[in-house]
Amino acid sequence: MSFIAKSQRGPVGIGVLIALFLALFLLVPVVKVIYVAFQEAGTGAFTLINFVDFFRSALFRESFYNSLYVSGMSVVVASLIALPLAYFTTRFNFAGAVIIQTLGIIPLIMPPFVGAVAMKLLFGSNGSLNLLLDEWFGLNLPIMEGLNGVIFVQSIHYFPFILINLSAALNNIDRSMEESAQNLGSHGFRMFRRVVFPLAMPGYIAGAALVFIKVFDDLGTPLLLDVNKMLAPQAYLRISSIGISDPMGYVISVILIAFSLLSLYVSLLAMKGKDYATVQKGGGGLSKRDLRPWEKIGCYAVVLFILAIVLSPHLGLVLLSFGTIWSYAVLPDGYTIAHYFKVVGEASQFITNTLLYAGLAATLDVILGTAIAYIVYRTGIPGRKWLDYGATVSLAVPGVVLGIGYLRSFYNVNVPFINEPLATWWVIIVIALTIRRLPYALRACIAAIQQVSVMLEEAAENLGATKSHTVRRIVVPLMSGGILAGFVTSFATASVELSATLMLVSQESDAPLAYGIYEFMQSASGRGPGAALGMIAVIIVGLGTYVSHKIIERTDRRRVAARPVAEEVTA
Amino acid sequence: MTALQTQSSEVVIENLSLSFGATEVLKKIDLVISPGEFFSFLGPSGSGKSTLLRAIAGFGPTPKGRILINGEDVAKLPPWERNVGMVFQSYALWPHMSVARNVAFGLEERKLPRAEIDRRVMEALELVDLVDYAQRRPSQLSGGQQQRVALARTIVIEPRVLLLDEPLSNLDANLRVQMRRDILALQRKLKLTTIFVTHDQEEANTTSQRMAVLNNGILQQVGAPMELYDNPANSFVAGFLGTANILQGAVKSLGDETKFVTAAGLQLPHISAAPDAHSIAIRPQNVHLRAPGTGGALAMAGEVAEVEFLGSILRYAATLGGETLLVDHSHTPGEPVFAVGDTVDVVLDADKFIML
Repeated sequence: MSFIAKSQRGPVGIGVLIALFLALFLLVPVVKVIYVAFQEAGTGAFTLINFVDFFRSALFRESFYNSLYVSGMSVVVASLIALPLAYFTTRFNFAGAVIIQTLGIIPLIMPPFVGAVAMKLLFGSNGSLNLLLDEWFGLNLPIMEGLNGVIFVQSIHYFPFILINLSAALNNIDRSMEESAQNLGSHGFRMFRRVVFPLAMPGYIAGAALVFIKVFDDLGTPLLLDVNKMLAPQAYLRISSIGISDPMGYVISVILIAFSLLSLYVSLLAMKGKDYATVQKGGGGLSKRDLRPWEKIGCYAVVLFILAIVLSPHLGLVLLSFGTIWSYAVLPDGYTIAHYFKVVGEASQFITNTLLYAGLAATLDVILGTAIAYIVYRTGIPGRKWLDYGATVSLAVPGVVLGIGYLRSFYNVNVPFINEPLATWWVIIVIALTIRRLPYALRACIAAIQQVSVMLEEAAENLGATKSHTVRRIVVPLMSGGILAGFVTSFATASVELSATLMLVSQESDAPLAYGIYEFMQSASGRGPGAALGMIAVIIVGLGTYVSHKIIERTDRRRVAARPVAEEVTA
Repeated sequence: MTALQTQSSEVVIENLSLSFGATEVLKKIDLVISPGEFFSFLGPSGSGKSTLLRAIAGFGPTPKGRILINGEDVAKLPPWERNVGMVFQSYALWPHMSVARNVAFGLEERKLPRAEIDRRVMEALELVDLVDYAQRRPSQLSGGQQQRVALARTIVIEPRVLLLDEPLSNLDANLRVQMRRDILALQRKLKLTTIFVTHDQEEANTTSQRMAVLNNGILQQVGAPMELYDNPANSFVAGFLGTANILQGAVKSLGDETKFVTAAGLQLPHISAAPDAHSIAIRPQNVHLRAPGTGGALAMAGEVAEVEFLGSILRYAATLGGETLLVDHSHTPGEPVFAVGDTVDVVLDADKFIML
């Protein structure tokens, strides 16, 4: 027998509503997809025949191996970029560390599919680089040929995940770890291999697993590079050309989910029981040394080379968006701002739709995130942890899978008054974006609530404030920095989400930016306007990233300023 | 009986200075630590005691001056060639290795045969009573056990000197006393020259044969604990070791008497040995309060300004002649206690004055 305390009835009601929302828009569609994959087409009986068919088909086998190969190689190439950068900043007093920090952000403000076409014009077999190489040395590097192109574009977009995780892991190693090894007679590479490297390993694996799965699930980049023999594009093509009853799309979805779960599991396993953050009070990361002049030159050469590569999609996109005609030439023939006029004049609905969808999704995300964070960390409701798990599960659901799930689950659900299937109504795009971004917004809200002392709430209640007043007047205002940062990040990333929206856009008038870019980029004449739209997307994401960094910085500063008082209170 | 071979090395520090950038944190330190001695560096935070210890181990900026271990200057050697064992304040156990592998690490670096490594690891773990924990991870051990692993890991390499950097500061009070005794017992058994860094004078007093007091990077005084307490060389040492009333002033001839006259004008009897003394230190236990009129001929009239009950003692603050003196009185149940505002006779043990 259990009674729910009067003060918890409100949170319980809200918790149940959130659980229903998650069940309806996350659990049901995903379960439906898995169910259909194991169903016999005519009879509906349980079967493995669909998987057998899948692996019997030469096309699907090739797609499967290609996806594995591209993801694996992307991890390798991304590691080759990230390792020297992480090493330079954590081991040396290197003035170029600022460039390296910037390097870790620049790629993330442009989704890989946006720059993909521009990269073809720069690095393709008839691109700027190869035209020059051919003229000078008679060389032609197949950088953008087939799978190489996907690997190249994905690696330079996703290497920051490895860089950030690896740098954090290296910075969390206390100097005494290294000193005690030296004290016992170890030094140089041997010490690095035996002590430093194993301590940084969990961080590296976490970053690498993330890169692997992001590449494995990505739909937009291979599509734009005309690489269709990979899993996600195959799923999309199957559903969009053959229809939602074709089982292959579902089989591929199950494989994508399985690999997502596997890589999440691998990164959890790597981190489990290995919280190697060894930094002590007053200590600080590994000892750094000054660079000798020739070493400095070497470091700068490596960093600037990587910087040039990382900036190339941005540069290419700028050229493409301002260029008149750019074909078989190192640079465009002439420059114009006509593409921007065209986009703003004829395709402004892409922009307004994006602002509306991303704005609504981000708002929903922080409301859900704050509510879940409060219920999990401030109430004793049984099973509250499941809200957190439930929302986080969406990390393991690729966009393509969510899109297919929505189409299958909601095609026969008619929206009252509108008289349209829920699956083709524009609101479903907002919900898909909300679900896709929820895990990130939730993490931001949880981080925010963990920094609000329970004592501050107790003080309010002690002075007569009810639970709901306390939440409104104390908790939410104190969390506001974190909530705002969560909103901005969700907004920025939702505005360039492609994989789920590609499946759910039913008419062009409902389509957001990402879809517009994809549409334009399909034809040679559309590349200019597509690039202009891409630039607008980059500006939205860039501004969003900048604003959220500023907010977090400001809240951190305020928190530092308030710390001595807080410590007195807790002492 | 242990088979661990240990050496009793002499450590000589000659004219050692060390700077972090423009800030000089150690200034011309000269020190001789005898073979087998348990020696402490004592000082407040920022005094340079840890920096000095780390310089002996070879960490931090290269110092000026010499560090001689058994006559060999190690000041320019990298840490891994010094063979001085250091126990870090945070223990610095590697979380990715088991206890046994942590302890084996230094021997592996010395490329000893596996069988000998295993034997010596077990001996070292036996010495700190952790044989049953060999396969655990450091995170599965208590603070005290981690401390013992760190100790075993260090002594197993048979270092020339054992350096302990505030090793007890992360332990709770009861464990700290136990650990202190264990470390001391181990040191006596191994006869290992040991340097112990601490800011806790009780820790230094109870363990060390001799100690060095540092302040602002300057060596203040070296000696046995009791010697330093009884005969501090300056007011810093007097105030840092125990509690002292330190009064500034000068020696003056008043009529046929020589007196020490404080800045506020209080006249105190002068001890002849120090004609140019600028301050005088008086321990609170050498000041006594008596009921008015019962203090005898040398008593001075004062007033009680504060009373604190500290358990075994009552600590008064009494004002007399413009100065405030701390007074410690052993507490005896039932004995009357002076109250704030009471007029009292203040009696000073003139023979216990420390002229500085």
